Amino acid sequence: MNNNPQTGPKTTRHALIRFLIVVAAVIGFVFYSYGWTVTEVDLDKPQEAQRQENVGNALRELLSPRIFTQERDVIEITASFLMTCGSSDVEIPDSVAHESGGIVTISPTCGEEGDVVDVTVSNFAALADTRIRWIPPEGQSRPREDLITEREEIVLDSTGSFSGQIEVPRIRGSEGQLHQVAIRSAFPSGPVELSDITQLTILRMVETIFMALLATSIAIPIASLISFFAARNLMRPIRLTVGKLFMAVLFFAIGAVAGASLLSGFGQFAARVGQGEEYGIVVGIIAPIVVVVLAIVGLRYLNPPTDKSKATLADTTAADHLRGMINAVLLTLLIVFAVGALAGFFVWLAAQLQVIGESVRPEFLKELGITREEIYPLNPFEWTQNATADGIKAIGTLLDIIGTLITLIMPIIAGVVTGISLSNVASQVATVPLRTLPKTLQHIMGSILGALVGAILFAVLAYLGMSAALFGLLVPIAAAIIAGNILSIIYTQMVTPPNPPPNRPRAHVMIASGLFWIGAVIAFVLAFNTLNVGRALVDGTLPPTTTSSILGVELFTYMVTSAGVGFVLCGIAGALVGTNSNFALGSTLYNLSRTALNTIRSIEPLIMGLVFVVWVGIGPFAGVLALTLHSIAALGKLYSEQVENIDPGPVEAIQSTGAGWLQTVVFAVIPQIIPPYIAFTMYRWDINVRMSTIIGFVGGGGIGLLLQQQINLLRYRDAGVAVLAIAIVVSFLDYTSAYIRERLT
Amino acid sequence: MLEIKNLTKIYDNGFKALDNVSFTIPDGQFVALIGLSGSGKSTLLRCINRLIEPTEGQIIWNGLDLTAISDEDMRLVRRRMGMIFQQFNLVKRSKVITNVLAGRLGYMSPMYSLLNYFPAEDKQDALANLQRVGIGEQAYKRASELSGGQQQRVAIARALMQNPELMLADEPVASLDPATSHGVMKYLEDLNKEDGLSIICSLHFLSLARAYSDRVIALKDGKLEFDGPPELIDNVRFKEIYGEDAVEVGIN
Ligand SMILES: Nc1ncnc2c1ncn2[C@@H]1O[C@H](COP(=O)(O)OP(=O)(O)O)[C@@H](O)[C@H]1O
Ligand SMILES: [Mg+2]
Repeated sequence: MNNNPQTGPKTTRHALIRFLIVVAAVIGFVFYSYGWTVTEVDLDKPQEAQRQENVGNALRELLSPRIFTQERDVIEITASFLMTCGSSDVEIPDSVAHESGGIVTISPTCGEEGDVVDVTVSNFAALADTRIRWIPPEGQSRPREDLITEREEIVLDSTGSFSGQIEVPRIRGSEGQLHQVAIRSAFPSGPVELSDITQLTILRMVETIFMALLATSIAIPIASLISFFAARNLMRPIRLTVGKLFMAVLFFAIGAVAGASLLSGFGQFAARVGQGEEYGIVVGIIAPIVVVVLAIVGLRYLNPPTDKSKATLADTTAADHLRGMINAVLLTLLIVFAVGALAGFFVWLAAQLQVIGESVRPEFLKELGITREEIYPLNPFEWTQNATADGIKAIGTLLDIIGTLITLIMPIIAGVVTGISLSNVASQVATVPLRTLPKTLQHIMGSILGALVGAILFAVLAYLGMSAALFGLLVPIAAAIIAGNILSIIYTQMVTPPNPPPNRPRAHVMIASGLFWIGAVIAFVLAFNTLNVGRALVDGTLPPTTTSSILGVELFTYMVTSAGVGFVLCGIAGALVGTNSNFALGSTLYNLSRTALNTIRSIEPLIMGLVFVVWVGIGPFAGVLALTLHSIAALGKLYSEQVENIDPGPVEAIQSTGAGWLQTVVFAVIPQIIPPYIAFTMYRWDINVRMSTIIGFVGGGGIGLLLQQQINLLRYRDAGVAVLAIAIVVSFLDYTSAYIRERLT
Repeated sequence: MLEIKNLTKIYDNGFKALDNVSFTIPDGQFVALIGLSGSGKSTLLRCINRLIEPTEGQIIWNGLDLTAISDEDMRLVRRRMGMIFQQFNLVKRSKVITNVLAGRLGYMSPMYSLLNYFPAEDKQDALANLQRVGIGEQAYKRASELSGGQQQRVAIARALMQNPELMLADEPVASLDPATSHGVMKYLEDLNKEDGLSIICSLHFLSLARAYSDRVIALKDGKLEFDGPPELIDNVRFKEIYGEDAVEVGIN
């Protein structure tokens, strides 16, 4: 065959490839088939008669939801039967007609167990649902099925008649006594009404929709903010010199600690002022307004809207720095005070609203002390009053929650605001001096600042690591990333010629990345062992909480050790790169936020719900928290994709005018993303309604809880109502949200 | 004065879009930048205001080496360089006046612009600049409601708000019809003649370059192919720039 030397090897190769494809296909098929075993597909079970009947019943009931009820009158007519003919001389009375004219006759009127008895009903309630019961002289009565139709449920015909046969039941020791055959008919009387379960379903459905609404609305602002950090096109251009980055981190940390410890008291004081607890409510309302107005006037005076003077930052004067500092101090105090006072005012207002709301409620309801879920017949006027009262109180409750929440997290607010202000000022002031530093000093400064920042960063990571075994991996991972970078930087700086990246030979790139991995693995193992992370992972025990004293401050030894690792690694890294090299801050933030979003998104809300139920108890609040967290991640991702899809032209144009990053976002990005943001928010609300219908299965409240209860009680007709309600609401929302999205895009 | 020295741009994928380009533009010149599509015109213009980071070489503007300054300083420098684009690059959903005012952003302290506040004098300037490009009455329409030529004039007004010394124009008339093209080019000419702005304008049609520019710089495959007055471009030069098969077509 191989007479042509050129095609020979080629044909063999083709044959080999074909063979490999066949092998792969066979392996793939085996793998796929295994799936059918793993999932226990079993065609016998669904054929079992009992199962078929069960599923038939369940489905029938589910599809016959108990939406309506109607009062029913039950009337009974009886006929007598003597057990064992001739066993007694008791006379068998004739059947007596009911006052409505209905009568039941049986024949024979005496007999043994197992005998068949003809039952004839006439003149009774037309079309009434009817049951035949056997009533022995003592003991339980028993349902009898009609032997002809083999059913217990009987419907009388339109003349109120029926004829059928029943079997005499086995009832010991009742010979010679009279038994009764009872025809019990129920027929509707009174109006058709919504059943209790329907009313409950409506209440729970409203709760469900509100859960979805709340989760979505809380998620929107948070997700919007995160989405900018998770958008590659916005983040990639953000670079910072290493010196500025270090200054910013260092002073953020200092500011955060200082703010949280010094200013949160001030914020809480502001809250008390706003609440009227310090100087009365009049001062409480006026003081914040005065302070805010004064501060705004001051800030405006300090900061003219336009600033044409400087050609470059080198023109910045000491006076500019001073102004910047005063600005920062004013702004920090202003924000902390205003937020605190507003929170306090909310709490005060909430209390007033509770009182006002209650005063609007109709008097008689106050006395009854009704709850939301009880339904009383109210006339429209009373209903309006009652609803107004509930509405006012609801606003009050919301304000109270917001106010209390702000007061609770005041240390965080104060810390973050102060941290941002301080790091802003510090990096502004340091910019020009850092830039003009001589080469050696740049590296020395880099080393010092890097070591400090590294210590802080690693201490924070270690603190997280002390909370759960898996988080213990954070320090080794961070150490690995930095150490890997150190090795590859050493290589690129010292060994390869300083070529621009695209020109760098492939081999160099490969060596650099090889070195990265070597450094990373070594640092990971070292940090892992030093901190004994392995033990935490195996035993689930957390690091020991022994403390050691550093400069008179008691700190966890574990954190100190980690800080030491960070100190050394970041010190080396800082020394290598120096303060003037660029750090791709944007890309780092992008990667971090993308990772966080993807991780959170991959956890189903049902699982989150389980955790939140442990924290806040069974009920809709747990569901709202779970849905909110999931929505933040999901919306953050969707939003950020919208940001990445915007027309880059306007962004470029606004940037080319000399606008800063924030200005570019406000003027070029936000106008473009509003329509898709609204569309995706609708879409998310839609999903959240679906999710909140099932989050109740893990205790998250809403209609899911009701559905689960009914299913557990085997009340399929009641469950059917919930299922129907879910179907209606979900498809309605589906339709509306699709409609709105279509209109918008 | 703008000096470009040995400017080279290599994109991340290794493509060399500019190869050792050098030239000097004295103040007040109208320079037409020509070359085939893909020859590096847009890359060159964007390197000048560093929307794209040059790989090597220097850009010296009024004595300041723009390739050596920090991002923050570059932002301050950009305020004096206007730029207009083939696609106009207006924020279509915003009002015309907002688009024009955006030209002031570089001069505004960010706190104010976050609140969408602009000083009254800026608003007057914006209206005056719109008047100047002949669309004063469109100020409160949405940008998307305007025609192409009008949008490009809004973009010019936006650039004017920066009070620029240099105007970079990247094929400003390539998506406009001939009559509208001349309208827009006339406004650029006007800025050059009356306000003394230097203009670097990349153009598709040599006839436009001949009509409006003092000087033509031609790029070919990222290299400087020609630099001189438009009259010097004869048929031979033309074929060198645009390739053997090219024929000059006019735009009237
Ligand atoms: N971001 C980029 N990455 C890689 N190559 C690019 C990029 N932008 C442009 N190029 C390439 O650089 C060359 C010059 O592009 P450009 O400056 O847009 O040319 P012109 O404006 O003259 O048409 C083109 O071949 C283009 O494909
Ligand atoms: Mg181009």
